Amino acid sequence: MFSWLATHDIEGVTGDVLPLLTYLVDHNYIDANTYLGTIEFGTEASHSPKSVTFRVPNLDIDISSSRNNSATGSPTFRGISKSNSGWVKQSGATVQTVLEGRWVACAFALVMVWSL
Amino acid sequence: MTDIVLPDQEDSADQGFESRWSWRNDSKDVHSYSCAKVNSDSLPIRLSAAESLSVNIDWSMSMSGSTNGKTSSSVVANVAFDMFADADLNKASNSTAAAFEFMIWLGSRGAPYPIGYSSGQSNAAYSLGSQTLYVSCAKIGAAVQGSPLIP
Repeated sequence: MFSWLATHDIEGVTGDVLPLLTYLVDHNYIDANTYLGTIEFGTEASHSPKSVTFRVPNLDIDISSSRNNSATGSPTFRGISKSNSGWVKQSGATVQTVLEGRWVACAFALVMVWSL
Repeated sequence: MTDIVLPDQEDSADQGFESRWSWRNDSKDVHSYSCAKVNSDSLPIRLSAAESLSVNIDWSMSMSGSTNGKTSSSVVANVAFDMFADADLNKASNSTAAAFEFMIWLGSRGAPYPIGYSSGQSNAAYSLGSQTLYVSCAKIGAAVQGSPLIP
């Protein structure tokens, strides 16, 4: 488990975060042949007595590889739902519905949104 | 509870999302992770083959009833990238099977701490744009399933 922490809130960021991973390779924490398979961005929620609104008005994540310089990732929006029927965004990205025990706590609420 | 508000399909330029949540009990555990997951044919990718992972993100967190657009001190949450990796191609795409988890915190409320914060602090620092990030722990090979923010 490797965690990089901002010294203060960074509410707007434009930059390359790959060096944060290659640092771990360079310092022999992980092997360079390791596959990066999952990239997510969001908020881990632990506590609030009142409703908190987390807004991400702008979200763009691009992966560039030596094999394909034009490779670009498009974000999909993940949550918990019992349904596996995707909701297709204009970009072709699919709203995924991944059932995963880790986030089962938000299942009920998301199903409600899904039905709107 | 957690709601995720999906983006407007008509606006292709806007890739954002919004989430509303509240959790009244058990402030030490992570109860939900409202997030966007990158859906890309270029994943999984060997770290050695990656040339850049460019991000352009704006976010904010506010609380209902707040007059200044901020959250109160009782809120415990973070804002972070969560990434998973493995030597095995298939496991790398499975966040519960992957051997390695990386987080990059862009912000936090209520001082949550990452796993291993107290025990494994490193002196590593890196500049992300004009900001500085620190690596807080390096517990190799720890899979994360329902792990608390505070060790």
